[in-house]
Amino acid sequence: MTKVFTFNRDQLQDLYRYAYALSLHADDAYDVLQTAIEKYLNNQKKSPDVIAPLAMMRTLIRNVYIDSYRYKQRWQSEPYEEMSRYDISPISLENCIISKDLADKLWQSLLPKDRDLLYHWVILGHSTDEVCALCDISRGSFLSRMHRLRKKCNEDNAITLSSADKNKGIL
Amino acid sequence: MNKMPFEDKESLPRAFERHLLEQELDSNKLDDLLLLQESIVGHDENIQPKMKVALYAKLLAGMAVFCLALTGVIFTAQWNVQNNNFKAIAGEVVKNHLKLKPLETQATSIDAAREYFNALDFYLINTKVNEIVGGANSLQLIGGRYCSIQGVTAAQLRYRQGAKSQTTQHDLSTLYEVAYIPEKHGDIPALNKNGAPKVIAYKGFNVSFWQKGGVLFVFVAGAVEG
Repeated sequence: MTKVFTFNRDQLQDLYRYAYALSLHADDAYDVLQTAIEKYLNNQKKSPDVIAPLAMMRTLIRNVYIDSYRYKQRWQSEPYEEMSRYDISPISLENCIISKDLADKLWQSLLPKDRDLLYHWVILGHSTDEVCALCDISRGSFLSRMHRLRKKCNEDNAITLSSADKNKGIL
Repeated sequence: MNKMPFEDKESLPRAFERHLLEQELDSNKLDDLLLLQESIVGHDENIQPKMKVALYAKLLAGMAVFCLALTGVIFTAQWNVQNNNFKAIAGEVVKNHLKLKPLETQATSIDAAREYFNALDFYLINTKVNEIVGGANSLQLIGGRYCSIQGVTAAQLRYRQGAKSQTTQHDLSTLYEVAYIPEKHGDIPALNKNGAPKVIAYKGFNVSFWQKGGVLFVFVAGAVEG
């Protein structure tokens, strides 16, 4: 007899954080999670043989998010520019140092898709290839995005640093 | 006081992780989600196999109903065809019976009739018409003529009730004998176990059908009484 898999508190928190990573909005994230749970369990009742419920839930959350917020254009389509030049050298974001304030601003400026990639890469610890497969994105596109993210991070840091230097100089 | 730029620095991934970990559903909302899960899965958590059984049962029931309906349709269609056959023959024989065309032979016995009906492609049977359809009145053969039923050449034998010299149409009956061809005449039953034929009422006449020994008998009695 197959038992329908339901989520415990910790799993719900994790899934909520994923929804939040996409929406960056507490209420939206909760709504998306709620809808996704309903869809998941209704599917489960029909065919309960899901191998990876959490992965399935993340897919559902992403789909619900895209469906719900497409009209608000939060899931923006990508300009073609990024396809023109791929930097596919291995990348590490570990040496990309950022201040807390700056990081909070940076998330807001990222596209939901970038946050989706970051979530799979950083939080779930998937390899580059796994992230590409899970998020349905080419390897070149993924690396290009991460390079751009690092560049942005460095640029913002430079501005912060220079303004800090200025302040220092005045004082 | 000025904040130093590297005061709370951290790597981008750690910053992202920390940022997300700061996000938490409060326990009320968590409880709501747990309740939601329970309400959906609820008491029918283990209902899956039952649902499957129910599904199969429904499927079987559906198939059974379908088969039954199909049987019904086929049966009704056959019954209709059969009924139409009876009606077609009854129509033909009643029409002939009403016309009372002149007799071609005045034979008063089957043996005499057989002498006249020598162009038939079957043997004229001396059926016990009195026992089968005669009822209280004895039927007396008064003659016959050739005719056809559904395009098959038949012998038409006229009977009179009783031994009256004066006869009205009401006293006259007609027995038709024809080689039984199921493809043309349809499925005509033999006499039942009580020796009674299939009878239908048609245009005010009782028309009896039976077949025996490859010969079809159709008998039109005097008009229906009452």
